[in-house]
Amino acid sequence: MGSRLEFSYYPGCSLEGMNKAYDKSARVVSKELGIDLTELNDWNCCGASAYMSIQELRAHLLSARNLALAEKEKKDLAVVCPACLTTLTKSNRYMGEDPKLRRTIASALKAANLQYLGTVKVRHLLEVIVRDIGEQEVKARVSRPLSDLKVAPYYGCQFTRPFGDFDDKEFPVMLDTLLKWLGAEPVNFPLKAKCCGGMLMTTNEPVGLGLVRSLLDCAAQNGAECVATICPLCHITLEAYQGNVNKRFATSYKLPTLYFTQLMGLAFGFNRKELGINEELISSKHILAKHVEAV
Amino acid sequence: MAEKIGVYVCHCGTNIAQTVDCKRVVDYASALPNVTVAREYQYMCSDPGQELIKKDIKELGLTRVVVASCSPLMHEPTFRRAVEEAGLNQFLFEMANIREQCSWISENKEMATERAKSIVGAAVKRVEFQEPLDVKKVPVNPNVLIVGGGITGIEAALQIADSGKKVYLVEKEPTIGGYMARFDKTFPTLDCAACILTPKMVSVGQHPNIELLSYSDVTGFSGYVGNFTARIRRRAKYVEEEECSGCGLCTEKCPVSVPSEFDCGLGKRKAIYRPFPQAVPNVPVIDKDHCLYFTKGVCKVCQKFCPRGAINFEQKETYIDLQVGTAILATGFDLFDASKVKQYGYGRLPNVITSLEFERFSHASGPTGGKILLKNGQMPTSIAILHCIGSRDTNFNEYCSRVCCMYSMKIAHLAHEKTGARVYEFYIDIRAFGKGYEEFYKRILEEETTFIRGKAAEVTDVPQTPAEKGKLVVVAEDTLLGIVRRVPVDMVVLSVGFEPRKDTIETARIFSISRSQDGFFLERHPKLAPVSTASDGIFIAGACQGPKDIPDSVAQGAAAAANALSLIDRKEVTLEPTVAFIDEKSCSGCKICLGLCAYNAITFDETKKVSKVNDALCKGCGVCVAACPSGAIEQRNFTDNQLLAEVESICAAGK
Amino acid sequence: MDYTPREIIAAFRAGLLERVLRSNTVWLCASCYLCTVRCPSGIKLTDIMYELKRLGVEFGLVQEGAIAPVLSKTFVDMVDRYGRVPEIPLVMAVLLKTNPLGILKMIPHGLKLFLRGRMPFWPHRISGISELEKCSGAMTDALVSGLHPGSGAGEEA
Repeated sequence: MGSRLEFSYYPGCSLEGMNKAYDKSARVVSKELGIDLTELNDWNCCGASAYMSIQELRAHLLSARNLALAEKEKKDLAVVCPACLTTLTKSNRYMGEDPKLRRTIASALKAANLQYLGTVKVRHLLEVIVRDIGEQEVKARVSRPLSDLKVAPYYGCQFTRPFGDFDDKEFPVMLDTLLKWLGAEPVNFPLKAKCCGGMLMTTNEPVGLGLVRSLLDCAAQNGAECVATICPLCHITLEAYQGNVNKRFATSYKLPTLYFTQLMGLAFGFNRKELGINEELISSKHILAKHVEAV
Repeated sequence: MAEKIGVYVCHCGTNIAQTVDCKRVVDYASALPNVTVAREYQYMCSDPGQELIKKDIKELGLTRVVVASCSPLMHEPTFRRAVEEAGLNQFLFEMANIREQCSWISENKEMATERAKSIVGAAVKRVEFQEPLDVKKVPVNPNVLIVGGGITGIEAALQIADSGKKVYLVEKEPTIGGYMARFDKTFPTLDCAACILTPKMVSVGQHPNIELLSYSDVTGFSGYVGNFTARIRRRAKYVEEEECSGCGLCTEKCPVSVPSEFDCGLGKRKAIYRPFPQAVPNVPVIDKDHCLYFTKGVCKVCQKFCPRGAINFEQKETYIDLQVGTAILATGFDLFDASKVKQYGYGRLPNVITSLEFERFSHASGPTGGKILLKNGQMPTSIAILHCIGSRDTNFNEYCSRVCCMYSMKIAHLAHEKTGARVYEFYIDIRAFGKGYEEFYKRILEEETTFIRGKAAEVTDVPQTPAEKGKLVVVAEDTLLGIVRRVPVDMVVLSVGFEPRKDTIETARIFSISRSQDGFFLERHPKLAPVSTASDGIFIAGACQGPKDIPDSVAQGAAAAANALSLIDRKEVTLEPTVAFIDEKSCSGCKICLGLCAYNAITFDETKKVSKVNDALCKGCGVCVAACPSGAIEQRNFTDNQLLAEVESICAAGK
Repeated sequence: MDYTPREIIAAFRAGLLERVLRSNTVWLCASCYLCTVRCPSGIKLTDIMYELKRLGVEFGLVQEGAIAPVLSKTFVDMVDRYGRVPEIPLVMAVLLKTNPLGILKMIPHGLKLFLRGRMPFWPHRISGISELEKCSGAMTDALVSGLHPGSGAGEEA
C-alpha cells in the first residue's frame, strides 16, 4: 500500500512516556533514510497481551480501529514495538481467516462509520530498514562506524513469533545483520529471542528477575559491551532492573542498553541528545567513547 | 431385432436388501421394454448367483445382461467372466451400482428404492447401446528393470534372477548396498549390517541373470505393461569396469582428499574412490569435480600406477535402451535435514549429531575407526538420544517414520557398549511393533538406559548451574512427572525421520506413477496392494513407498518380485478395450487432444492430417473425449449414445 | 509453572480445569509464543492460555493473590477510559490495589526516570474514545443477536 517508503507511524503507548527516546531516535533515523513516518492520527492502544487476557472481541476491535484508520490513509502501518506488531497482525490475520469474526468486527466498526477491508500490512521498522532499505543505503549513511562495538542483539519474543515469517523464529539474524552494517560486532547470543518476562517483572518479580539475569549473564559471558533492543518493554525490563538483579543474585551487571535506532543514529553522526541517549538509566558513555568517534 | 435383456437384482445379504425393496425393483425392471427376465437373489456374485445368469443366457437366449449390485470395482470382472463363459461377449454386460451409490447412502427406504429403480432403468437403457468388444492380448517381455540397489532392490533382483528371468539392476551410486551398507549394527538382533548384506551384494554381482548398471540412472521410460522401453544414462566412471581388478592402488595414490558422502562428511575419500571397501562392483569412479586432471589438467597418478591400464580419462557418458516387461522401483529414502529444527542446534552447537552420523562413528571402517568421539577427541560420558526429529510434526513431516524408536534403542546399546556413557532417551511413545522388538526394548531398559517420556524442547549451551557449564543441556518436560527437566550431556544424537528422496517427483514423472500426500510413491491399495501402483507393470517396494525397516523392506522386495513374476508367467496380458478411438472423418486435425494426453497415447498422422490413438498406451481416462471440439473422439463402452441413454432414462424416471 | 501445557490439555479433557485456573500457570504465561511455534500438533497454545485467562477472570477463578489479573483488568479500564495506557499510572494503580507498600520500592526507580524526563503523568485521552465506546456497544448487540459466539464477560450468545 502506498509508496514503498511511506508509512503510517504507530508508536504505541509505551513510547509516549518512559520510552520517548525510542520514538525520537526512530523518527530521526527514518527521516535520514527517506522513510516517511506520519503518525497515525488519534490511534488507540493496541491492547497488547493485557486486553486480550480479559476481552477477546473488544481486543480485536482495538486493532481493527487502528487498521481502519490506517487504511483510510492508504498506507501500511510501521511499528517499533513487537507487542503492537503481534497484536495488530493477529487481528489482521484472524479477521482474514475467520469470516464470522470479520463480520462481527465489521458491524461494530460500522457504528462509528468505519470500515476495514483487510488491505493494510503491519511492519516493524527494523524489518522495513533491513529488507526495504537494504545494505547499500544504510552503509552509505554511516559516517561514524561503531568500530567493533560488541553488541548483544536482543530481539525478544514477539518480533518473529508467531507471525514473523521474515526471519528465523528462534535464531533471527536481521538485527545482527544491521549491526554489522553499522560497523558493530554482534556477539554470539543464544538467548537472543528468549523472553525477558515483560510484565512479569511487575506481576511476579522473582520470575522476572530470573529471566533478566539469564539474559544479562549470557550477554556478558559472550563479551557484550551493550545490548541492542527492538522492543520498548524489553528495553525497560533489561535496563531498569539490573540493580535489583544484582541485589538478588549477588552479581554486578551494568550493561548499557540501547535501542537499535539509537545505535543507527550514532553511526549516522547524530549526537546523544538528538537520540535520547542522555535519558538512559545506565551510562553508555564509556563504551561509546571507546568505539565511536567524538560522541 | 430387439434385444433380450436379463436384469438381476442382488440383495447383497442385507447390505442392499435392508434399504432397497428389491422385489419392487425387480417388478419395475420386468416391465421395462426389452427386458426378458428380471430376478433377485441374495448374493449374485456367488456360484449359484452366477449360475442364474449363465442358465438364462443359454436357455432364454439373452443378448444383454444387467446386474444391480455393488460397485464395479468389486465384481465387474466376476460377472464379465460369467457372461463370457455362457457365450456372451463380456462387454454386453453392465453393472448398476445400487449399493455404494444407493443403499449405503440412503436412510429412507422409499427414496432408496426409487433411486435403485432409476439406476437400474438407466443401466437397462444403456446396455442396449453396448457393443461387443475384443480384449487385446499382448505378450509380456520377461526382462525386469529394477531401479535402486539397496537391500530392497537386491532382494527383488535375486528372487527374479533365481527364477531364471533377466534383471537389469540400475543403481545411481557407484556401488549397490544403499543405506544398509552405512549402518553398523541392525536391530533387534544386533547383526552386523555389512556381514548380512555383503553376501547378498556379492550374489548380485556374480549372478548370471543380473546385469548390474551402477553409476547409472533412468532418464526415460515409455511403453505399456509387458512392453516397456527404459532409457538408461550410464555415467562415465573413467575406469574400465571389465579391466579393473579392484586392487585399490589408484585410491591409495590419489593426492586429492575430499569429505566422504558415505561418511556424512565426517571422513575423507579421494577424488578416485570406492564408497566403501566391499563395494559391488568393486570398481572405483573418478569424481570429475575434484580430480586434478579434470580441473587443472595435471596429475593422472592413478593412471600411472594402475597395473591393468583400466583408467580411461576419455570415457564418455552413454545412453542405452532396455526392453523390459515390468519395472520395480526400490529407490529408497532420504533422511530429514536436522538443521531445519533450529532449537536442537544441529550445525550450530558442536557434538549434536544425527543418528546416521553416530552409525558412521560406530562403524569399524568409519571416520574414527569405530570410536564414539566428541569434537575434542574425547569419549562422551553422557549421551542423549532425541526421538521424533522432523517426524510426527505439522511443522515438518506429519507421519511417523516407524524405525526411529528401534534404531534409537540400538544406538543406546552401541553407546553403552563403546563408551560406558550414561545414556538418555527422550521419547513421546515407544514404537516397538515388530518381532523381537518389545523384547529388545526390555533389554535396553535393563542396560540402564534412562528413558524420559517427553519430546526434547531444545538443546542449549547456556548453563544455568555450574554442572551445566561446558555441556549440552537437553530441556524437556518429563510428562510422567509433570516437571521440566534440564539434563546436561556431552553428546546429543538426533533421531531423524525418513523423507522421500529429493528426486521423487522426477522419478514419479518418468514412470507415470503417483505419490501420496506425504510424498512417497502411491501404492494401488494401502491394505491389499501395497507394492503395485495404478500403472500396470510398475511396482514399488521398500522405503520409497513409505518409511520401513529392513525386514519389511525385504518382504516388499520379495512381494514386488512375486508380482512381477506372476505377470511374466502369464506370458500375456489383456489390455482393456475401453479406450478412446478417433473417427478420422470427423477429426479436424486441431491437435488439442495431443497435448492433453498424460500417457502420450495420441500421435498425429502427418499424411492424413488426423490424430490417432495408440490402443495399447491409452488408459481410457476420457480427457481427450471430453476435449475434442469436433466430437470426433469417443470412448469404447462410454459412447455418447450409451451415456445419453442413461441420462434420458434418469430424467424420465424423475418425472 | 504448577501445570505444564500438556497437563492443562489433559485437565481440560478430564473436566478438571478449575485446578489449572487456580494455579500459577495461567498468569505466568508471558505470551512468548515459543510453544505455538514449536507444537508438532499445530496447537495454538498461547491463544488457549489467553482463553484460560479470560475464563479465570470471568468466573473469578484465579491464583490467590495473583497480581497479573489485576494488572490486566486495570489496563483494560484505562484503555476503555482514555484510549491509551501510560506505564507509570498503570503500575501505580496496580500497586495501590495489590501492594501499596510496594510503591515505596518503586520510588528510587521513579526518581531516576523523573530526573531523565521519562515520567508521564497524565494519560492522554484520544478524541476517538467515544467512537470506540460506540463500536463496543454495537459489538455487544451483535453478540446478543448471535452473530459471533465469542468470550468476554457475560456476553455469551
